[in-house]
Amino acid sequence: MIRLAAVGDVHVGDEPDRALAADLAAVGDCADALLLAGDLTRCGTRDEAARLAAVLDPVPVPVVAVLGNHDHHAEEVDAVVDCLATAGVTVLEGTTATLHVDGRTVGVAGSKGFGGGFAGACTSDFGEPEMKAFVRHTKAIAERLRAGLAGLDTDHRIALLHYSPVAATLQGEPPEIFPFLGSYLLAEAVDDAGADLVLHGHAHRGSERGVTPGGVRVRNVARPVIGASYRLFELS
Amino acid sequence: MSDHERHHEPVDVPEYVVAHVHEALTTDPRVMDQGIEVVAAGDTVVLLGRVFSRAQADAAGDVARDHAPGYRVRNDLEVLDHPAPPGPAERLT
Repeated sequence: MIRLAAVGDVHVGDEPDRALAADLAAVGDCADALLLAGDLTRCGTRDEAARLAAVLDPVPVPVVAVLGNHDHHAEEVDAVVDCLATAGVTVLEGTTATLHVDGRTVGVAGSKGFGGGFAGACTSDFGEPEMKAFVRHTKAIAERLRAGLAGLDTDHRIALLHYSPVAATLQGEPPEIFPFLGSYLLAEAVDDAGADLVLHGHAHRGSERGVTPGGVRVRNVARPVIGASYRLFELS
Repeated sequence: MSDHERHHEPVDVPEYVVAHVHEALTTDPRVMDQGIEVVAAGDTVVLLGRVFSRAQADAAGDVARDHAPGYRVRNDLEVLDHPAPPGPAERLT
């Protein structure tokens, strides 16, 4: 049995978040690894990353993360990643990590993801350069996600994202902003390569559970959605 | 230029007030939260949703007041400072 804890959108800012820090420091009591689904900081500054690293440093299990749009806002991504690395956090972007637990393996393919919308109501690779750049960013991310998952030779495979691959876990958000919350291209990549689970955040007013068109479970673990410091999953 | 254009006064449109408050809540470093719902109800702007600290909730109220002149602000934000237990693990078979 492999036990995973997961949360997104912890949004560490200027103030200490003692409840989150206490819960994560004790996560080893119930999980073998912690997965973080982006928006780890409020503005993406190196100062916020340092505060986040102080929260994550005492976590007694491996921590694998992707960044979210908030973590990009200050355009200090390299500093944020370096800072998290000092706390032992593996940050994925179009890359993979393998966790070893009791002789079994879990592969994690991670990416921020991006928007574009869902079948029947999505953007297209057409028109102004800005619109094409938007769509092509999502396409490139989806392709790296597909390749990452396909390359994992592990007992279990998880896709770790910030943006959503399906509309189901966005229910509760205004439908008008769905194209800014996720893309079907991410789900298509997951369904092509296969996975046991997709984790994401980003949609604070969304819903917790969904499924890709190919049948892969999708869980929105944004902290405002789950109302807890993390959710737990067991892989057998 | 017509008389109408020359003497045009800005119109107080609640939809634009909501949009400006929402934009400010997203970009002001004290708040920076896209998940706050902003509703105009008569002469009142209401803030709804979950934020991560009392300081962030209070700052959201301040930002809303700054960007909704002439409106009252009702701050109904919920603060996530007492997280619930994680609940039972979901078994993925």
